[in-house]
Amino acid sequence: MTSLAITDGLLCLVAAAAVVTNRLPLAFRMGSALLAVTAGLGVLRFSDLLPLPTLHSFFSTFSASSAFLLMAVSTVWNSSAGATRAKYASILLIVSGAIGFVMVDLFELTRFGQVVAVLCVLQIIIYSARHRLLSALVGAIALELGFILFATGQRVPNLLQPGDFLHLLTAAGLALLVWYHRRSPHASPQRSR
Amino acid sequence: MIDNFSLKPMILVIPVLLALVFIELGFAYLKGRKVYNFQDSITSINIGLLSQFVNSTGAVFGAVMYALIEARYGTFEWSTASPFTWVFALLLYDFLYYWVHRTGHMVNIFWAAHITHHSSEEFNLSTAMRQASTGFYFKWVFYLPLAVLGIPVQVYVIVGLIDLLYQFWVHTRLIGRLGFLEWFLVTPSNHRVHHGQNDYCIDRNFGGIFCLWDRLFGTYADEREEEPIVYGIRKPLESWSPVWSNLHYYKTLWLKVKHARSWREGLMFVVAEPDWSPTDQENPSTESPTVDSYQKHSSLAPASIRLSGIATTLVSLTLLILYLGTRDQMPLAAQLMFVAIVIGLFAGIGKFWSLEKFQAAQHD
Repeated sequence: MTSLAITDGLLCLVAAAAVVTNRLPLAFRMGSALLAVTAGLGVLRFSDLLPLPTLHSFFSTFSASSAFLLMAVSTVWNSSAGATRAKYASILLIVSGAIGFVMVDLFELTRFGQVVAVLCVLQIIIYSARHRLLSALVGAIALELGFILFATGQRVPNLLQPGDFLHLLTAAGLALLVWYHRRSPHASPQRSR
Repeated sequence: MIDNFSLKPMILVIPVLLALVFIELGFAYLKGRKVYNFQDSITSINIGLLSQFVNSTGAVFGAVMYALIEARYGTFEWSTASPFTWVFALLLYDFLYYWVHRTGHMVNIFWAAHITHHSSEEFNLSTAMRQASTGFYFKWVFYLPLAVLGIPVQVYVIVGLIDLLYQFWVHTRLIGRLGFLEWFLVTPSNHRVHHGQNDYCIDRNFGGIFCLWDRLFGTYADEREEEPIVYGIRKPLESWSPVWSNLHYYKTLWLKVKHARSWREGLMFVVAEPDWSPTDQENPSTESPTVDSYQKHSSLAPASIRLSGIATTLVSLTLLILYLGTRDQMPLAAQLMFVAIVIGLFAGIGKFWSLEKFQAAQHD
């Protein structure tokens, strides 16, 4: 059992909690579901319970290209069809995922997903700063910080690996965004149908 | 060119499909049923030939993406010698096909591709050949779950071919209901509903081999004896051009986007359902037609168009067999040039048919 399995487990729990929270925009829950599956596969991989490394890699690429885009859309354009309706959120999910795989696997732009994730979270930062949405702002900054620490390979010897920073800060950022959406005036159970 | 000719499965399949068209025509004649319209069938066959030119090159992109994803992310090992692999792959492929097909009807930009298949006003085996030339760019995405599971690319290609060929025989009016098979298989009866433009037929029966998916997701409808089906689309194609039949709805879509009042409205035209409208006004072309009131376009073709239709079909069939047999030896640029020339020829003959039709209408 490595630290990566534990921190991925924490991320999986937070993301799963977001999926089952009714008052969140549908696109946000779909993005969270993608993160939950990825983190769940990470737990299986890093704990050696059922290592499926290629499947974990697939979902990691998919999440980077799509999950944060869905979260950005549901935060910044919270009343749009893409944020609230299953069909349009699914189109966003599939199209962004397809573009991600073409870029990463065909054109070998391996950082494409990370760049998309950084830009999407940056969009949330700008929006929440403009509208003074403190919990969303702090959550998005936590997400961005997680990406930066992971990409630059930061670690705490014998305690945390770069992936741990990514998992922990994504979990924290996600929890804060869930908190923001639950308290947002836009939130309602109807919108998530 | 002929020296390098290699026999491909599709080269063998096409004559068989054409022979089956003639067999159905013969049966219909013996039964005293008129299920074929000459010009409509010629158009369908030419659209099918055009789609083979385009897709045999365009679909390579999808196959390459599949192979890349399978090689990089394929999770499990599957033995091609095991029947389980083939049965599982076919079932999953058909399930995914259901969603590809449903998306083709529910998302306007994808409907722009798939509408070609529905533009025939008849329903017979030649209609099955009326395949779109522009759908290859998005369909591969839906089959990626197979790649991620590690299903080998050759299994994917073969089950895809099986799924496609199965759907050929269900395009007929000569076979009635098939008893208990109607419960789980796509049959001529329930596929007739899919091609209908009557209200009860719209967006129904998307299955490829199994209609279980339709029953599971609430899109199944039985054929109604009391309400004869009117085949085709509600805004008729009114053209015999294979190229225009593939492009006409893209133009419609482009005009809608161009005149949209905002970028959001423009985007909705692209991704919403084909009948989506920003206002609540009813579209006049959305009334349910009846067999008695519906005027078919294809019955008006003059003799010059019929003769040139036969000539076009024979020439393009010969070119297609040559192309499929030698394509592997051609560089990509040469393949693209060949396909572009064929598209140009089809566009030219389509234009000629439009002029002839216009002149015939003037004489009437």
